[in-house]
Amino acid sequence: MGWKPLSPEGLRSSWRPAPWLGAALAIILASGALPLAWLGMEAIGRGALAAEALLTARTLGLLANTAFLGIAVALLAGLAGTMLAVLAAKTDLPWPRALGALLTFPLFLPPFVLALGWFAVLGRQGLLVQVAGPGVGARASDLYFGPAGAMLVLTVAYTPIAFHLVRVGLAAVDPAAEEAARLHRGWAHAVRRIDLPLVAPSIALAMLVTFVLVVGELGVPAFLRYPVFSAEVFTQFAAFLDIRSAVAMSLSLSLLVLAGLAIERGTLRHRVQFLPRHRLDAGIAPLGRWRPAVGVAAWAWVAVTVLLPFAGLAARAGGGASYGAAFQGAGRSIARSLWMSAVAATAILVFALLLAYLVERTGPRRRDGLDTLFLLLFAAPGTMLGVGLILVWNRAGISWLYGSAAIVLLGWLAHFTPLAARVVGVALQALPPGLEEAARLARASWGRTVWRVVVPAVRPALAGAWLLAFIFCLRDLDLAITIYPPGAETLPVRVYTLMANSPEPVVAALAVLTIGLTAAVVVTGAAGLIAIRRARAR
Amino acid sequence: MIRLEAVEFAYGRTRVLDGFTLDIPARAITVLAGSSGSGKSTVLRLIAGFEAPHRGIVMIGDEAVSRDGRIVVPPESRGVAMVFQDLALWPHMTVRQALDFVLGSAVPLAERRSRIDTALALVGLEHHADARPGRLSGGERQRVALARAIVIQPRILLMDEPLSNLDPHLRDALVTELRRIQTELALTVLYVTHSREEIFALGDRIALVGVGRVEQSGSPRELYERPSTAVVATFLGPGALLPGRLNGDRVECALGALPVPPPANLPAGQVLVLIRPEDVRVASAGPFMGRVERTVFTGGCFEVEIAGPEWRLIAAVGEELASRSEVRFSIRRAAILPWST
Repeated sequence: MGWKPLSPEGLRSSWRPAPWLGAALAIILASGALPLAWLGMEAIGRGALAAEALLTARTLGLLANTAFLGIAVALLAGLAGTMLAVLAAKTDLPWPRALGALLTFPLFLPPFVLALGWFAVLGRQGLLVQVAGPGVGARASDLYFGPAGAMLVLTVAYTPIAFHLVRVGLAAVDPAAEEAARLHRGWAHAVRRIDLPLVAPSIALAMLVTFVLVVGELGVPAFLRYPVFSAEVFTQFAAFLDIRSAVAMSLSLSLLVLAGLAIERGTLRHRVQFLPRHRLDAGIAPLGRWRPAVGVAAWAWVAVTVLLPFAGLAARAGGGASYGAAFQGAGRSIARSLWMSAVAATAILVFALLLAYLVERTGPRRRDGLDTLFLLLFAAPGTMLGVGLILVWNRAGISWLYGSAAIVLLGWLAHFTPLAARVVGVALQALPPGLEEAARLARASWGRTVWRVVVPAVRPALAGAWLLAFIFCLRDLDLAITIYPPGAETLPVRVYTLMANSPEPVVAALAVLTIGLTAAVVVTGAAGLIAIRRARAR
Repeated sequence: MIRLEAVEFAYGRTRVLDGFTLDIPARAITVLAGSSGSGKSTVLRLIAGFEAPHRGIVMIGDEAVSRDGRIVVPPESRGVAMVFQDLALWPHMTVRQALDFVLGSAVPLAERRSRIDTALALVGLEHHADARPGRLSGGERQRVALARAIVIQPRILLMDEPLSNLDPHLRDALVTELRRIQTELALTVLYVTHSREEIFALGDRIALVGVGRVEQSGSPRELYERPSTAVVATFLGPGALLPGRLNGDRVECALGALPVPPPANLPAGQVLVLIRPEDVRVASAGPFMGRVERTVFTGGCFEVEIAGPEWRLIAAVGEELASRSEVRFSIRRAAILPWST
């Protein structure tokens, strides 16, 4: 053969991922970890004030309220999500996919929009008053404004987390492990003794994630007048312009979040070691004569918790005049929310790919550290991260950043990149490293390998990560309301600020518009994902 | 003991079993052999009760446990134990907890303990009773699966390629142990495999599954020496299949005339002649002559490919033969099969 050996120059390595990965990590650290660290240093620097703030009766009350709400919602959402996941994944329940899709939708909405929905049902002029009379309606309304209402709304909002984590956990259970139990016991026993213990870490993780999200929640407790830390941080900062108190309150809030994270890192990481399996199908328990009753109950749950509040909002909004007024008040915010979320999601996607690569293709020790850091960025309450961003970036000479939509984009980049990186990381885990090693042996550069080998292989995950990032940016209230500069109000911020001084039908119409916009995004995105998957299957 | 009668079964549109009929005797190991996708594992799932035959009957003893799309007796009431292909061990339970789970609280505590200890001793796992499967080696996991199956003293033990993931050394050891345990407990075992070594080491009887139905069943020796089809002949061992013409007590093939082994039970006409490697004797006085095409050392002996005009044989010989050399040989024995293309 006429081939000549390659010259040493031709063999020079072009495999240099470090600068790209290092730059991505540095930018995320600067946009998220630095503000949080700054906030921590400020709080430590004002140790006396922080300690004093922690020990007042009011702070202890806030601590109790926040912890109570977090724990109660985590338990309720964990229980409801687990039950529904078992029914959807392990039984022949009618239309389980449709049930899962409907159940998941509230997660994509700003939770305070759900609170508005329930207000349209349980408020003094809500649907319940029309059905049960003013006496019952008044009692329901009194009950709604307080911890019970906050628990109801946030449980509906976060049940999908437990539902999906448990559903994925159940799909990972080897059907042969269930069959091995079924040789000796019935299906109910197999689910109770085999499936549920195996997905216990998923249930616990879902409850912890829910707890962390609830303790950072601003919109719902503030709307329902239930005092919690996150609302207090925002009030101190936005209403009283008291950054020192906001920092002190953030410290208390961060203690709750860190406690939740410590439990996840300390205990849940040592999970049951799953063994190799041969079959990928799932065991399905027939409900038999119970199928109609269980089906009606599960669908009734979804109808009441998801569809009823939307129906209430639609009824409250009334005719086209409300929608016209709503659109007039928030039309620009809708357009702004859409383009800002699209820009942020695209940037997040690039960083998510680089950071996922860094986490998945690095040693286990470094992987754990990075994983914890990214989880912290996602778990940090939006109000807290917002105060940290203001501490770092509110400086003379960089007003172009602090005074424009860029500060919101930077905050979203820090807050939601970890979530997208987790989605991409799961796909990278399933990608054999041999694909990249083969490209490297063929002397492809690292960048070319990522672009030509890795990206096409994980395209569905990238599309899913973009959609998730887009939706989370679109629904964000807590971070955006803390840092938005004049003229950069997003839709949730606009709706939240209009709530106080607009007629109820207009607010309801705004909520319906938000729901409609989110539904359009979710349906379009889901259709796009399905098209990508089908194209790959061909 | 177990009977599957005219069973039909399909996964969606893929027909897996079609008129499958098989009798499995009690207190013996029946090996269900066949290539991948032939429906062996489906037969186990039908007997266990995880699937119902779309048509046909599954009987255990005198009882029809499934028939015509209906499961009459659910899995947990059939007295059947199973060792799954991937073992299906419960990762969250220790060995003792897993055995205790299958025995259930209906069995008194003292008896449960005693049975668990006996089962663990039988498989040599006394010292790992409190370990979880994730901490055990492949061979130990295999033993846990076996202990979990025998601790209930099942009527029937189903084994779905349980040794397929083990190295040959460990597999040999476990085969010997399995045979000992089966004899000790007088178990009725249905063992699925496609490994020739396991077929011959374990099988009191073999049922060889072709596409959706039993090709032939009988003792291992019977199937090896007198296969009824080319599928059975080639599955159970190497050998040459030569077209031939049966004429009375002789068969004419490309090698020449060979005596027919009794009983032929075939009408005169076109047949296939099966010649196994151990039936080819290389000797200077042999009546046939051919050229050595290839020699491979297989451990204890050499596998030699000998070819002539329109024929090709494999011989197992003790000495290495030079490639392209001419050798003389005789045929000790040949089997006659019905003609098939």
